Amino acid sequence: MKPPSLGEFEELVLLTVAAQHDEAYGVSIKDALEEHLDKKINISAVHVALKRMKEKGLVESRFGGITNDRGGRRKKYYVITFMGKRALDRQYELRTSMYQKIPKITFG
Amino acid sequence: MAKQPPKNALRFLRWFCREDYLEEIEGDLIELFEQEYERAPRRANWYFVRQVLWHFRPDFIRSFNRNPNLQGAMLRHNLLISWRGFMRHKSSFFINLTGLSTGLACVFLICLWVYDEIRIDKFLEHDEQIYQVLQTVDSPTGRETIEATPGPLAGALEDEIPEIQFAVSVIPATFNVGKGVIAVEDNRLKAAGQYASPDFFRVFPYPLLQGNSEELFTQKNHVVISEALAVNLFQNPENALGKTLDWQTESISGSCVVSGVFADLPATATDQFDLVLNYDWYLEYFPQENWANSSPRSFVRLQENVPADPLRSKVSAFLDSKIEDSNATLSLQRYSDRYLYNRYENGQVAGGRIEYVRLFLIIALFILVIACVNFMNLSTAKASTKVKEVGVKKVVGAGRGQLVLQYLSESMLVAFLSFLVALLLIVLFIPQFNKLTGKALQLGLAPGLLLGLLGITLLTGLLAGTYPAFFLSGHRAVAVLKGRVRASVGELWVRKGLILFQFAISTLLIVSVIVVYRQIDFIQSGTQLGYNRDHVIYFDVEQPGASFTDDLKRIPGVTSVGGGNLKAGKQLGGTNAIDWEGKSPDNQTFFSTFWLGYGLLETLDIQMVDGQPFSESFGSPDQVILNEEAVRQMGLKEPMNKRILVNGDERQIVGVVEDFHFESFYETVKPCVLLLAPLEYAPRLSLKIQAGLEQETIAQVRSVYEAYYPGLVFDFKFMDEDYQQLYISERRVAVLSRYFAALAIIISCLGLLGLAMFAADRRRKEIGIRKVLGASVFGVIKILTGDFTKVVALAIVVALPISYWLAANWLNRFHLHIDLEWWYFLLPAILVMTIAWLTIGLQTLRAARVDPVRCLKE
Repeated sequence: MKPPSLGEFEELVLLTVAAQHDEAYGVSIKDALEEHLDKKINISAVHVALKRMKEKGLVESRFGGITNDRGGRRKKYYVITFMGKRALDRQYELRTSMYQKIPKITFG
Repeated sequence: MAKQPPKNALRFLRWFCREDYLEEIEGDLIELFEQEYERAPRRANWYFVRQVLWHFRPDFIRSFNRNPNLQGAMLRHNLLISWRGFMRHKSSFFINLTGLSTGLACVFLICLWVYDEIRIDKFLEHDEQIYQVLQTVDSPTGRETIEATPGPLAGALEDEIPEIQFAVSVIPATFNVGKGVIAVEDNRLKAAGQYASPDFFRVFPYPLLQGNSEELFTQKNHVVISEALAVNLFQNPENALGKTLDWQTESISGSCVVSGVFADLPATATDQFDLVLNYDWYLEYFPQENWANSSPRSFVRLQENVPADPLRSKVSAFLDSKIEDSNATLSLQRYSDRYLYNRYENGQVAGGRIEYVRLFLIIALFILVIACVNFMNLSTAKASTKVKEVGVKKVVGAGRGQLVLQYLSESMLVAFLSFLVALLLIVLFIPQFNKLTGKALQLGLAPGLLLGLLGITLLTGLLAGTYPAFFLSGHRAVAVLKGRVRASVGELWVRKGLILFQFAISTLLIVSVIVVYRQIDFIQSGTQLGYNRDHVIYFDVEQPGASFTDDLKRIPGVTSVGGGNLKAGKQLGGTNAIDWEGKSPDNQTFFSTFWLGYGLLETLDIQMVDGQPFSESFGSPDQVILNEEAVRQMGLKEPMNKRILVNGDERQIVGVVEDFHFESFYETVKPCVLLLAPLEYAPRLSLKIQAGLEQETIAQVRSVYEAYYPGLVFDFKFMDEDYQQLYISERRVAVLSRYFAALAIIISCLGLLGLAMFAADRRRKEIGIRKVLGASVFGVIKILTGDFTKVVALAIVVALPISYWLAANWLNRFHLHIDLEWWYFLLPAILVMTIAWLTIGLQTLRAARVDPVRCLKE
């Protein structure tokens, strides 16, 4: 079965979810992405990406416990699914295989 | 504790966001907000708002239309439920419908009447420039404002005051010379004509169908006729131009040439006339050069864009430059205001018909409020029986919005139905209403008014529906089903307060009606007038010779004949040029003067206090009779046979008459002198006719008249009808207010009936238990009626002093008025109480007689 397509931003979010295994939620993903990419990320973009990937079955979610932080709202943690992992793998294979086909190019 | 994010943004987020995403998004946003707050507290709020707005996108917005297919079905369901409710509680539905619709119909009719009243005379173009000049005359007995102005006034105003563009003198059609006969060949018509200066149609821009407003009266015998008259005499207006017609009245006759045709006057014009004749022609017969004599009315048209106010002082003192020691001032009143504001006190406008307009508006408002209050009272009371329904609906999953919608739509539906019934009632009753008010009103007259009324109706429905809609739907389903919902104490108080208000108003109206009726009756019976108008006819004749009057006297049904210009309720003229022995030089007392022929005092049955009525046997024609007030004013000890100077002529006092009311009842009796007139000076004859012989006698009088005055139409009036006409607006008010008071009490009782039914119904179990424990039917009735009785009694107590004050105030405007008697107040109190008891009593009796087993078994 062919895994669903993956946009660039979605891929980045998915990578973060996978990296922060079982500890990823909206704000942590946003922070990690901002750190890596060194630019401001809008939280709504992260939310959109997460919802879409969840619809495609790439991630799963669960609620955390109630704490005093966040005005008493529960966090929603995201975990990558088997399908999500496969999509990442395929993406990674695709990129490396294509990368390897690049002849030696040197500049200057 | 960390700072809270902005509330409104959060509320907005909660409103639009999908429920399954909300907690996550809200949590993340709050976390970010807290982070941001640590870093830059001032920017944090704005940051949060921005983030919320970023989330306002299709992915996160919830569906607002939960189930599109359900909407139509729910509406149908709601209507069905409402309909079943109506059918199940037929009586309260019917009460609601009747109360509101009659109230609305009544209010609409009143509004229509008011609308028609305020429109009168407003149809003229540039009506803001047309003014009437009124004259206020000072006399020791008071200041009086009259329409008649000095004859040369109009011409002088136009010449000397540049702000006045045109000024005209008008002898209105209501004067004697205005009634005449038009003859074209064999075609003879009676018509009302007025004499007016040539610029008349430039002051009053009545639309002209033929002719040019600037050259209508180039000849003395030019005449401008109405469209109807033109069609009648010459088939069409075009044909009429240049045609000749004969104009015949008692004093002015001659042939005239039609120089123009004006469009028929609308019903909203106060001055109605069929033709306009040249004032210059009138002057040939009745010269008007004397500034001291007042006869024509004067109207002016101001220059374009000239305000009237700065002009008033100029006009006011105008007479001082014309007459030495003038005791009169002039004032300007906009012509179209004259209809509503025609009562003057001290030379100032003090009201007039506008008072009736206001009175009726207040009554309309009261009735509207009573009807709406009823509707709300009943709806809210009934709503509390629907608590269970609400509970079940909530359990099944109805949202609050749906419940609100249901109750609102139900009460709006009833309101709308009432509106439709009201329309039906209006259509049914408009002919009767027109007959009562003497108007020609139509439903379609004011579409804006209709819309306004629809708005008021729906607003009533909305208000009445709001309470149950929001109050009931707000309860928790569990509490509702367990029956833990009680009407709040405040609600009961409001309901009682509203009943109190209704009944207070009803009592007030009933008292007013009684007082108004008694007063009008009192005026119309005229027992206090001092003269007898019954079976008296009068008509105007040209030069009644002695043989004519002798012939009239010979008719068997005629008991007496008298000449003279004495007429019911009208003061026709007067003078201060009267001298008597011992008069102080600065005494300026104004005496009304009447010219009387022999026999008039007898005809009118005016009682003599002293001396004799005018009589031929007395010899000299220089006779005068005074009224008691005149004797008092002159300070004469023994007036009989004294000689006084009237306008320079010496006359001997031959009698003193009782003070009879020759003016309106609003006025006190003024001093007056009655002068013996040669027949030709008194071109009005009054005839007393034997009761029961009116028909034959009048026919005989007519034949005598036609024998003496061939070509003239015998036009007579009954004096008592004439007198009734004087107080016609009072009588209309009286009749109308009777209906309105009846309506108010009926509507109030409908409300009470509904509430009583409701109360009895709610307390069925209680009644059952009481009866089982041994309460008598009477005891139960006492319990059930007690509450309402107290409220109604309180309403009466509140209303009576107010109505006393109002009645006393109103009566004070009449010089002759009835005294307020105690039963005027006791009767309405008993009436209201009895009606209220009957209303409640029947209901409670039914409730009290119910078999207790039946109501307890439920």
